Amino acid sequence: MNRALVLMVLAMACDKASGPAPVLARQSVCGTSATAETKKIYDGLKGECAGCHVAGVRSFFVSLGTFQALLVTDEKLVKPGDPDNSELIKLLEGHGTGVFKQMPIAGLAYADRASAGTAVNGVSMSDVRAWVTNLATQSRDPRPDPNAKVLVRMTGQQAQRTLYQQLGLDNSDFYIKAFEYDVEMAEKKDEDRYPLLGPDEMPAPRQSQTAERFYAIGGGSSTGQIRADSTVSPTYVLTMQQTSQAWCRFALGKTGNTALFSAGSMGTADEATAKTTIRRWGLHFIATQLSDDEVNALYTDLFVPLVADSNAGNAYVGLCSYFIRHPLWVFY
Amino acid sequence: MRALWLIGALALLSCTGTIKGPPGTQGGGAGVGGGGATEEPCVETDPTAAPPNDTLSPLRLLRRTSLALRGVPASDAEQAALLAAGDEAAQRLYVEHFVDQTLASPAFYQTMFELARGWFMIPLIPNDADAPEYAPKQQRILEICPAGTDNAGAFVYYRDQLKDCTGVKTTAMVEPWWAPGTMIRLVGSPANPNDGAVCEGRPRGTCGCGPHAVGCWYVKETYPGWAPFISFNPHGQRRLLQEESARLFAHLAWYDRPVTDLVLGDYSVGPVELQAALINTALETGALQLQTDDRWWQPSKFAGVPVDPLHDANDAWAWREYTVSERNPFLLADRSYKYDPRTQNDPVKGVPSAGVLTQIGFMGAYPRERVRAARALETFACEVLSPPNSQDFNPYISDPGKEGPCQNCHRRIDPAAIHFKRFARDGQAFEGWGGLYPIAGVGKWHWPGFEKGMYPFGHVPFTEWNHWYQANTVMTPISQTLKAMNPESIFIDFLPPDQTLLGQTSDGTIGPLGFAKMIVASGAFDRCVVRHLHQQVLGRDIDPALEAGYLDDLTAKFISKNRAIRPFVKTLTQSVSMGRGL
Repeated sequence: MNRALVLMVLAMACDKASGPAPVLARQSVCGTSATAETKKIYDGLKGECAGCHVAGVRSFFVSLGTFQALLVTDEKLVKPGDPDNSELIKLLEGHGTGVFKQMPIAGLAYADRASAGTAVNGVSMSDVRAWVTNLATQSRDPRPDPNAKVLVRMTGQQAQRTLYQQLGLDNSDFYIKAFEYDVEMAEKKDEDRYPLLGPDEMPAPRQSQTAERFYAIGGGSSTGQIRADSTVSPTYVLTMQQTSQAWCRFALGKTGNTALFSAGSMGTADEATAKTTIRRWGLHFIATQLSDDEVNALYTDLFVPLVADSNAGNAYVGLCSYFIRHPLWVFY
Repeated sequence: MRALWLIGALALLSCTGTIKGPPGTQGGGAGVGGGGATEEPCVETDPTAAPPNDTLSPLRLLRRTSLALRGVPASDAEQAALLAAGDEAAQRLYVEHFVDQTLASPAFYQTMFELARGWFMIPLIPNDADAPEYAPKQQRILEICPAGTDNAGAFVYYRDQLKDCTGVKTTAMVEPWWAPGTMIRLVGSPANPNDGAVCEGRPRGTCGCGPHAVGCWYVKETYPGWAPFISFNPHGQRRLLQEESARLFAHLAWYDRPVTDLVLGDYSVGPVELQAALINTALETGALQLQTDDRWWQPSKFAGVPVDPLHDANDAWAWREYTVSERNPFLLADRSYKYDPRTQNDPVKGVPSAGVLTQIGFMGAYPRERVRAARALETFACEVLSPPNSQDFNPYISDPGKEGPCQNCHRRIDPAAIHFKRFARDGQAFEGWGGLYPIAGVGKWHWPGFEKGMYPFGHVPFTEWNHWYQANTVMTPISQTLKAMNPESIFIDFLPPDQTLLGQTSDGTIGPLGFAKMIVASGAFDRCVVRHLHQQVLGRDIDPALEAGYLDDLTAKFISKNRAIRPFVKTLTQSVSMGRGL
């Protein structure tokens, strides 16, 4: 009962332009939806137009949805009720007023193709004109796409800086000063420490492997003319696995480092210390207050087996790198 | 009964846009991550679809906000402060305060700089011969006479040690532009006068460095020419020029200026070393009055000028605001300067400055007008220039703007490229000296007979002009007759009334400013800025096809905030989308 009432009221409030025409594939109550007549025009024009209009801000023919959202609702292109002042009509008839005088841009204009019967699956110009004449006032949905992604992977640069912050590391742990033409550069100390730094940073890394590792986790560089890439690629996963383990081990062994253990030295393997650490690192690395069950599970399933296999040091390395590869660390 | 009220309220709110908060609060006081109110009032038609259960906890929201605004997560101390704030409402209020603090912190300036650097992706100006041959420096290198020579400690031209370090030579004491408050001794050629028709104010041949040695430079290094060239030198001029565009964007963000100043403004930012490039370009063009203009290097003259938050106000390396037309008077202050070579015979005064679009870093990185136009369309109007699918085109003869398959993109590129035609580079720099950046037809930059393509005009840029600036084309809309009568008419650089760009007609302003006015008037610039800020804060671009209404809505909000970045970013942090995630 209530659901029906909600539907009815919302339809009255929002779907101002649906009119008598049946509505197809309603996109949202807040933007005008494509009608059957609009679909007919879309299908009729698609054969001649979809070749070009499938990318960017003029991707009108990707789908009926983009046709509706991008073209039909743009008054600069389609003026409901006024075909003579609609740029779409002018373009199709070969007297456009913008950069392009006709569509398609070469050969016969659409109207001539339709008249000659050569338009692919074409619709007649009179039908297009009639559609504009009868088109109700249009509006666009002001909301974001409900299916758009909400998760963001840390960029390469964010990942590198976050690791420095959370592991208590800085450039001095990986590099010594070197000079080229009297300009300071970051000379790596040891490749086994997996140095990773963007080439746009100052001082800039002197060795190419350092920047290559940065690129591998999706870092970008304007000096290198490489755009950042925040996909979760196999290269990213592989590099983060190696780097997280190497850097965790290094951070845990770093004298006086209070980032991971407030005492500045690695904790013992006793259950209380381990669970306290798990709880603290949940907050520290992934901004999450772990429940007792989660702490117990990590202790039992991850920490204890690692201690049994080797020692407390390796167990804490495993725990630390576990958090860095956790989805709650990778994404935000 | 309550349900009916709710339904009525929903009906009223749907389709009306944002629920406004109390006057005077940015973003309507909705709270970070949409807490407290919603910015997305419309309701799905399918009430059976359960809303996603992905509201971020205050801790996770703090983390997300921190990463978006300053590039690293919140610290342990900040997380502890959030947890100590009280209940969830108090914790969300803490995040809101955190946003305000971060937007006011230098870290946000740095985030905006890095956002713009990755967005603009302007490359380093290429070397013009073997590295480090780099043209924009345009200053001749000095070195110091070694101990034991007659003129020990004095400055001579590099490679002139044998000639000028010994014997009695012309001497001049000057306060050099690179070390204000000190005096140095120039001997030999650098101390010679450099006025008159031979020198034209430049240190060429045996001509001197000029007042305050403005035509020269000195840096202690192992090999002259590398310091300004190498990309890893934070003080290298080449790097500074590459960064200038992104620094300007961050500056606009930091000082809450309208972002349209990025392409419409007569100001930019740059350290003294960067401004030296503009000064020397202008000197080379004939603005000799700049030899005694010390406003760009004398600290007392730029006290109080806005600088970036990472430097002290008097630091020579601060990204200091400067007026472009003061550093290079041929980049005009006039915001609507018009010049039509089809009807005017007097020389063009210059080209209006246009923020990033007339920066040496932008012009120098892209060697020709069409490349500049394409990059400017992609970068500042978010245009997509992709090749067409199979289609029959008319045959290509001579104008890619209206013939052949290339017109698919060049119909848009060439009406933009017309504005970028006058900027050129000529010659090669030798250790920073000797390369030129003419603005065709401006100042002293006239080359009688260049259109014949004969010596000495058988090289770039003349060959390219003679090849590409053809009469009766979209990019050069003049007649053959006019071209024959006035060869410089090929540099016509405004859009004639019968052409449009992004649906806009030109007001006749020449040069990149004319282009900038049209991309702003079309709305493409604003939408493009909004998309990139959305990408930074919410982690994803706005799909211009699927989310056209959303983009319209956000763009209207952006404009309503005077196109200032920080208030708009705050609005984004208050969106429902910001509060969703893992």
